[in-house]
Amino acid sequence: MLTWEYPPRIVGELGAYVQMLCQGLTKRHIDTHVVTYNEEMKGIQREPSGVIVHRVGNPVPTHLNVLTWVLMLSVEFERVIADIHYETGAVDLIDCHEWISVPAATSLNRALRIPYIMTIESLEEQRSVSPENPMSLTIKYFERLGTGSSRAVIVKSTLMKEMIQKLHDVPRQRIHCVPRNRAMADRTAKILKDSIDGTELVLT
Amino acid sequence: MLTWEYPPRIIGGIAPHVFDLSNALSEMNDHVIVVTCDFPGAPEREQAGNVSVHRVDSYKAPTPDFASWTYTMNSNLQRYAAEILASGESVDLIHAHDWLVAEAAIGLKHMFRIPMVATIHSTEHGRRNGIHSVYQRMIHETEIWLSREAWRVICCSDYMASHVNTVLGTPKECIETIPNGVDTSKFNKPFDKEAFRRRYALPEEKLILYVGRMVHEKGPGILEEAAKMILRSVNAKFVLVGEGYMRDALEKKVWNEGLGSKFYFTGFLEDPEVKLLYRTADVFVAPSVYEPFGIVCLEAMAGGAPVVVSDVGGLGEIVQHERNGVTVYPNDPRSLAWGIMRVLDDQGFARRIAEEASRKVRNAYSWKAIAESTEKFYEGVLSEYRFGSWKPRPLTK
Repeated sequence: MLTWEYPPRIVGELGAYVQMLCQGLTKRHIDTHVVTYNEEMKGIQREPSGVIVHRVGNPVPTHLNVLTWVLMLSVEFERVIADIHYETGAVDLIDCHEWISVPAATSLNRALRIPYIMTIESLEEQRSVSPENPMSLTIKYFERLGTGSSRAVIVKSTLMKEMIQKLHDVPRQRIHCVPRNRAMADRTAKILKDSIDGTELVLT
Repeated sequence: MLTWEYPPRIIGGIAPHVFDLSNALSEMNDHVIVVTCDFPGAPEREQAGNVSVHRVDSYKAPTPDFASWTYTMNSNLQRYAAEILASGESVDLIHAHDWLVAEAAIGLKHMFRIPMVATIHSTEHGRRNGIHSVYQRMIHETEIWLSREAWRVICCSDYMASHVNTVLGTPKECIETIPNGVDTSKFNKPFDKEAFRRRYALPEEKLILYVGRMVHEKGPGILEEAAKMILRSVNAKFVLVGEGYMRDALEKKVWNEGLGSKFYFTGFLEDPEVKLLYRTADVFVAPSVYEPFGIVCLEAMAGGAPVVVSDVGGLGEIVQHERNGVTVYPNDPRSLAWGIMRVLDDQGFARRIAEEASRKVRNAYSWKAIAESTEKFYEGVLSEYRFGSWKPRPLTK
């Protein structure tokens, strides 16, 4: 799981969702690593559920905006995931959450041939008050890049599914709507397994 | 080689440096892959000897600022280079040029576990005479990050090596000085000097040449002040080649002072034209207040122009006062005027220092010699890498 928030660092709903999902996947015997940002808790931690969390800091402390922050952080994500890849014998799949994780996921996909799926909570088109400003355009570029070469896209509503299909030209069959309920781990595990050939997964 | 500029995309000194170094390494049978930004009209793929050039979509949509564009461009550069490496190209080492490709280079290093070396051509601290804004601090910290991640760092002069040690905190042991070079064969083409000269100056005017970006660190404002003193006794034309944020203000200033006809701001000129100017000028001036190396000075010396330079940074290492040029106090128009007059007043002296300068360039700054030093530097890094445990591991799945 490649996510910019994970407990105890909570910014929105993403952190709690990713934690719950990881616990569910681990119960289903999927080795799950989380790579996330936390400047104060850098290092590796194995949670009681069995999920392994890798927390990294940003290698460049000063930033102008979220874009420069994300792109520098991505290199740390790449470093840690490459390390997991070499240590575990291969990462089978990356679940990349939001555009923030796209630069790292797409580079790792090219470099180490690790496939990825993309999970989208919200789109820049919805968040931004001026979606055509340079910042929003660049974020949308990364959203499009991410959805373009992901094996699958997971969203939480049919409305979001339709928006992604329309905005980023993603084929309908590649977008999966997984509501946030008890069945989400089962459904996500199936999407993950369907996205690769093997069944014994190491997930980042 | 990762570089944000490569001919025909020329913004500063990195493009000609990477071009000449790559070609000199190619002549020594090294295979060089250059990954760089795209440029209108330039092919996406180009093969010249053992140099393969890949020009990558550098991201054309608007971004909030130059640094945001740079990092977005890096993301594209990195994905493209990753594809090359993953497709089976055997790459021993990644060579990054300046902070402008730091993100791409560091990510590739870790993903492929290949050693990465960096040439620090200049620093933000040096360019801005300190760090004065959040924007500059971010670039400065990116430079620190690059130099920390690099296996070893190349600087083009001892001055720059000392500067990188002090400002970026890179240990001295991790820095190697390998100078920039000049291809002297490019200065031999026959041309009609008198006809060429008439395009820039009247026959009775001395031609005083400045080549460089019109920015504070290069000192065009100091030259403008010195010009007022020189013009009291010498009929001269000051030809200033280059673009930059100071150009408009300087042009306005010289016209307001009634000196407009004695200045010619050419803007950007193609490289062959600049080389002919070096061969035509009565004196070449580099009034920099910060100069990590001073490649334009070396080119002027190769072209046979007597040079007058500020005694700063790399310029002070290239030019020996009264032997192969004249050095003057930096940031001192009076001293600069003195140096220019010293050359213009004594034709014999001007000829002697120009001949000595030309000899020095041929002997010490040939790209062949520099490529040999660089290859030796690469070998040193690779032999350390071979004995270490940090390598890609065989995958079990």
